[in-house]
Amino acid sequence: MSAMTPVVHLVDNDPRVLKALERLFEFEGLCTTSNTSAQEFLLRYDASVPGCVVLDMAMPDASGLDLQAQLQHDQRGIPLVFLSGCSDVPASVRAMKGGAVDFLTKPVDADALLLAVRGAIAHDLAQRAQADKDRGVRAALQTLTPREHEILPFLVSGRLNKQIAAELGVVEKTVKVHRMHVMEKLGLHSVADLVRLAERQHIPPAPVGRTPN
Amino acid sequence: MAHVHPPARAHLAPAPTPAPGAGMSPVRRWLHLIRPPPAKHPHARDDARVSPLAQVTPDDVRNLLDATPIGLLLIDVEGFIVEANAAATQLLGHPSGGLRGVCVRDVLPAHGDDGEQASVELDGSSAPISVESRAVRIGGRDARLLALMDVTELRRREQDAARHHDEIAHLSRVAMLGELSGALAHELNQPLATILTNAQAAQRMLHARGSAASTKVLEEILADIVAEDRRAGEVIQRLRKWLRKEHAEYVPLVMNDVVLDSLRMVRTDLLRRGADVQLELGGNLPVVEGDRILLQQVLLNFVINACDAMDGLPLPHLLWVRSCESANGGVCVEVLDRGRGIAPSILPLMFEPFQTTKPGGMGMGLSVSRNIIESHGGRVLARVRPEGGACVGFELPGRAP
Repeated sequence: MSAMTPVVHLVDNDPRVLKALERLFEFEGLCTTSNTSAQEFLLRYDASVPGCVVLDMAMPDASGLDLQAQLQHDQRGIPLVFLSGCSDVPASVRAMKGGAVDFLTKPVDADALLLAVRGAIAHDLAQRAQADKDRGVRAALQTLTPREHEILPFLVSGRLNKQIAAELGVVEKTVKVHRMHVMEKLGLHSVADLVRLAERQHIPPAPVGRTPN
Repeated sequence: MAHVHPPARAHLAPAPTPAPGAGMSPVRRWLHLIRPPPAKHPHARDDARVSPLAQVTPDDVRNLLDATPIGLLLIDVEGFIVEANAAATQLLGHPSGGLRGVCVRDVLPAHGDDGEQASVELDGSSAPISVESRAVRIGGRDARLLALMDVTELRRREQDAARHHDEIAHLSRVAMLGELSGALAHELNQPLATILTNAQAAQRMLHARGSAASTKVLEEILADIVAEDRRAGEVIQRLRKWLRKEHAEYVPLVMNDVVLDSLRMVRTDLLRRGADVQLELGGNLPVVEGDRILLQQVLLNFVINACDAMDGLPLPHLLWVRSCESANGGVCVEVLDRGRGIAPSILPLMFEPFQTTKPGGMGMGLSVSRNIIESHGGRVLARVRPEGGACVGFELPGRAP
């Protein structure tokens, strides 16, 4: 699991700022990487390792917002903590809309910075856990048979076995068995859980009064 | 020292005695010298006016002289004042008639040189006086006529104008600093942020229970804090010099140093704006005489304008700063860009006040720059580059050996 230790990626064009941040974070037991430019960070960044980015807004080669856009474009959703020399409202609004977890003004208090960074790391870990879960669900969905796939939207819509049987022209007992298998394969216990899962996986409920072909 | 020298009295000859053989009365000749009769005015009537000078008395002459607003002193060959009109006695701070017989050097120590000099007045005070002298012959004797003008007011106005120039230049520097404030705040913020983070890291190291913070790390942190503090101090120092309000201070300058100093001031701003500055500095340039801050101000104005002209154009925003020896042995500095250039209709007006093409611009920058360069005895230059963009610069004369 050592490869999975969260890393704080520091991006600032000023090596002296980097050194100071490095000292603070490492003393607090956080791993860091120091990058003097957005390019350097993008080249070195390993998306498989959890962590967060602490980013100076006013870097010469690419502003923090550009880096944020680049990461979004690449679908690398690492949380960003912005550090800015000035409390530039439009920029902070853009940063937050772009998914920054925090926007702090330099010089920043160590407590506030550590809080933000720990929050960002927790956010990333939660995001990754959710992503793992989603992957598991997608794998489980792959194991459903065509028939089970067929009745899934009916189950999501909350219909009773009897109704489903009538709409699909099968006996109620068959539907009951399919329902049991679907719930087992997806590791679910209630229709409510199934509805939540369907929502995350974009599985629409079967429309009322219409029989799928 | 306003006594009357005995020999001076001898010169106080009765004025109206006509010099034998002279075609004109001495008084008339004197007046003629003060104001030569003008060529006949085209509108004058032939028969019209008869000059009263033919019948003047000494009193008439005195009245006439006293009515003249210019101070007049008549000095004999030995340098003693023999006549002084009302304007002259007032100008030199003496009671009426108090100048007669006084040696001219006692009131105008630099007498003999035309031009401006300081007077010595009865009460010991002094005023700037412009003096012009002419040789005259009066009553058959050689003498000198001095025309005196108080230039206190003129000098005061000149000083006022110079002070206004200083103030406008100062205001424009303050305004320019406003434009650079983002970059400057960043330059101050970086060391402050570094100091805070270092200090708080050290505090945590010292307070952590059971942690033996290594002396070596703490020493490193302290060294960094000291260095960062100095860095912030330098920024403040630079700001203070930039914002100082004193008069221009003309010292021998190496122009290339001024160019490098100026670019150092806007380094952060240039980086943030994506401007790429190419330096082409000539070697062995003549030394110029000038005020370092004012010349930096001009250069920064040109550089910021060049960046503004390239705003919104695709990168890279290339800009060149060149220095070379000018044709007349001075120094020429130019800032070239690849921006939008200068419209031909603007070109002749661009150094005039209140001419601006920038939204929110005051139109003072270039006019202040021209004032500064002209007060250095130089001239500003501007042209459109055939390959696109503009070239704005200045020439300064070399320092007098």
